[in-house]
Amino acid sequence: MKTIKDEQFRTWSRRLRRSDRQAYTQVFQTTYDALYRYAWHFTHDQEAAYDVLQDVFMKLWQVRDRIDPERSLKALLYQMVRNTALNHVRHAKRHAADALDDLAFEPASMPRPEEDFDTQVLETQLRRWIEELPGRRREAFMLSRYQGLSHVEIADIMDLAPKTVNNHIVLALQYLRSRLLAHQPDLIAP
Amino acid sequence: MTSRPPLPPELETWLADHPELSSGDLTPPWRLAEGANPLDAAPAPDPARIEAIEAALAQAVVNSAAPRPALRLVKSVRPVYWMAAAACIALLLTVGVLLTQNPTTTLRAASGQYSALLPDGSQVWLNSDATLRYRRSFGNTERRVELVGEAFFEVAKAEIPFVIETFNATVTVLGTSFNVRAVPDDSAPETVVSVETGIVEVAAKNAPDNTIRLAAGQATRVARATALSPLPSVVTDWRRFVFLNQPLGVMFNEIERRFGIEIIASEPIRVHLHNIGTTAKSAEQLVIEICQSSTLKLRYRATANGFEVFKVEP
Repeated sequence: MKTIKDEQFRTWSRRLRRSDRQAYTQVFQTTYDALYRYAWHFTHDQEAAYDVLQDVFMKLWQVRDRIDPERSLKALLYQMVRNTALNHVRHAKRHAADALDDLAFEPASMPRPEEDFDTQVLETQLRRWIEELPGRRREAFMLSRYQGLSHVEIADIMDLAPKTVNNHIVLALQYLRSRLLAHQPDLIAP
Repeated sequence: MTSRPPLPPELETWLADHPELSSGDLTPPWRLAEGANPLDAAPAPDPARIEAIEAALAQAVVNSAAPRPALRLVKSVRPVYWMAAAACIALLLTVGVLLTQNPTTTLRAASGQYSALLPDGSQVWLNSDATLRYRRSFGNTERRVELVGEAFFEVAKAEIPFVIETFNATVTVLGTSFNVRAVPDDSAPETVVSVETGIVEVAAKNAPDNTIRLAAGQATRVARATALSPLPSVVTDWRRFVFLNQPLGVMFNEIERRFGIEIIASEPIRVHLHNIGTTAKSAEQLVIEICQSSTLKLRYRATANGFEVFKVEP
């Protein structure tokens, strides 16, 4: 999904407005993996993630004539997944507390100092550090780094000011940098 | 550090404006984080499930084809008794806004079938012309739906009972899958409940004491003034198109109803008993399968608004 050009999404957006079923199928086929994973990030439950995916695409077809051609279709899809998934999570747990911050954080076991920093270990380590980020910061970082969304799109999806998105990403990178510095300074060295 | 992927343009711009605030180069963490996507931790989507979702979407799209969507989400104020409405009309003008806060959602499958996920996570398959209505409070304080027509339910487990009201019966469950057929226009109107899994409680509306608990594989009919008794489940599984030892005419009627077409066949063909179980999705596929599997050596041809099924004379 990251590799799909914005121009392609704009074309799909226009075609969807004209009830083009082929465009609808193409959008599903090219985005389902990323959207399913994003839904899973909230639900941590595969069945729930499938349901979110189906609901979002059902809804997309229902509102197809009202899709704003000026707005990023990609951002719209992510936002729909986000809202549907969060609703699902709120439903699942009775209390409607900020579900994000309760999720996905499992304390990482401390690495032994003599552990080898080969690529895989480094990635595992980075994944842990990313998990340590506060919920919304982690989400903004994920959308920026791995989903190729612009700050404006992320702001749209998460209902934030673009400036806040920027802050989240800078702070996330600074945090990762400080962790890297502590563990493996030569990777950071210029 | 040769092929450094650039930072997002917005970030580059920001860094250019705030050299004093960025504590060090943010490129290395950005670059190194490439393979550490936390979303890779998600179990890979099951291709079969994705295919099923695609099929459900395709179905919904076909059902909503022009000129008007077959599935309409109608937001409407709950019907108010005429007397009350007349008495309160002045009040209504001022508090009308409040009333719209508890609107009902209506799911309707005009032709063909439609599968929908209810807000509580229950899944429902509506057969042709079936209508399902529920209030916005559905899933929060109650799980109550009104059904006209036929639908198959897979009720999500929850503490709140799931209640289906038909014109003459009330069906109560906690989490199970079962079929309800309640077509008031049928020649002999009745509500038929067939249970696939779990336990379902059925009550006749005119006699609330007249209740029955059904287990998997059982069915019951709520007709006029009869005590409810369990029957073996005779669910003709319309979702998968399964008919056991039924006249071909019954199958043709079902295809006609589901796809909104007309099937012409002579009387000897219509009364011929036959079994079929298929996942065929289109009317033509169904007709082909019936023709091929019947011992009558049937052929078919397309007509202006459906098909004609006939017997090949030896």
